[in-house]
Amino acid sequence: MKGDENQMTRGKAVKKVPGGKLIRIEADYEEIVSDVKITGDFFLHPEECLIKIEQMLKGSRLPLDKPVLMNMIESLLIKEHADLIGVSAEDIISTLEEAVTCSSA
Amino acid sequence: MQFRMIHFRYFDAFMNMALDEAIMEGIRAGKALPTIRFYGWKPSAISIGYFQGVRNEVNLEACREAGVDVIRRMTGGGAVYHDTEGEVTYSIIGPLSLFPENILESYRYICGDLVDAFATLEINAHFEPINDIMVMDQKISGNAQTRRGGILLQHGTILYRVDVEKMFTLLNVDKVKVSDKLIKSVKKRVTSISDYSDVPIKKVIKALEKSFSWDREIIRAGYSAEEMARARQLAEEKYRTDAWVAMR
Repeated sequence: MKGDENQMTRGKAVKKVPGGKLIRIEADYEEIVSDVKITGDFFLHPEECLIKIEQMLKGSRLPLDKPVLMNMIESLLIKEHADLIGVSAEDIISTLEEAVTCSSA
Repeated sequence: MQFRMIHFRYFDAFMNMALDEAIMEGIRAGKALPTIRFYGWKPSAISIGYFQGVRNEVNLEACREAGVDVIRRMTGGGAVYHDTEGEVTYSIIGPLSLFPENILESYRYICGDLVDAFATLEINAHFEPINDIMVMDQKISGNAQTRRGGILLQHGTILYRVDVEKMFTLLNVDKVKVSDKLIKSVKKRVTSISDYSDVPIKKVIKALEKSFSWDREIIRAGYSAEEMARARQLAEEKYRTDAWVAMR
C-alpha cells in the first residue's frame, strides 16, 4: 500500500510462530525504516521494552542487515533483563523484513 | 504464606482490570496480603492483550451495538471474549518470591491449581505451554501474566459455556474467513465445562477456591475501601480512556 504525503511506503506482515504466538508488524519505509509498530499476542516482560525495540528498529537502512538487528534486539533484551515469550528476536526481524519487501510493489 | 482470598463478584471490565492493578500496588506498598480473587464481567466484555492492536482484533461497532465493553489488559496474550454467564475469571497476585522465577514454570505452577480444580469436577485437563489449559486438544482456560515492581500478577479465564458464533461477531476476524468451516474448526479447538458437566457455576467457583487453598494459608476477606477507591480512579483515568484502550 502506497503511503502518505512524505512518499513513505507502508508495509505489513504477520507471522504465526509454530508452537508460539502471533506477531504483526506495520512499517513505514523508503530507504530507511521511518516507523515501526509491533503488535501481537506474545508476552514480553517488562512490557515497556517493546517501545525500546520499536525505537531501535526505526532508522534501519534497507536492505535490512538481519544478523546485526537480531543482535541488537538480543542485546537490548539482556540489558533490560527482559523475557520475550512466544516469538523470538529472529521472528521480529524476519517479519519486519517481510513487511518492507512484500508490500513495496 | 498467607493469602487473602476474595469471593467471586461481578464488576465491569474497567473495574476488573483496575482492581488487579490496585491490588498489585497495595501488595507492593505492604498494605495488602498476596491475593487470589474470583470475578465475572458485567456487562460482557472483550479484553485484548497489552501488545494487540485494538482495531486489528475487535469489531468495535459490533461491540458497541451489543453493549460489550472493550478493554486492554496489562498482560500480554490474545483477545478474549468474557461472557457474563460463560466464564469464571481469577487473579493471583503476590511478590515474585512466592512463585517460580522462570516464567513458564510459574505458569505451570499456578495453572496446576486450575488443573486440580478441573479434576475435582471430573474433567481431565492438562497445562499446555505457554499459557493454556487443555482438555485433550481443546482449550478450556487461557492465562496471562505480568511482573511489575517485584509483584507477579496472573489472571485467567475458566470457560464455563462458549458461544463461538457470538464471539465471531465481536472479534475482527477476516470476513472471508468467517465461514461455517472456520467456526466449526474453532469449536473443535475450544471447549468449556458445560461440554462435560452440568455442574452449576457456583460449584466451579468452590472447586477453584479449594484448589487454590490447599497449600496456602487462606484469609477470607473482601476488597479494602482504599483498594476500591484506587481502582475506581484507575478505571476512570486509565482503563476506560482511549489513550489506553487504543494505545496500539
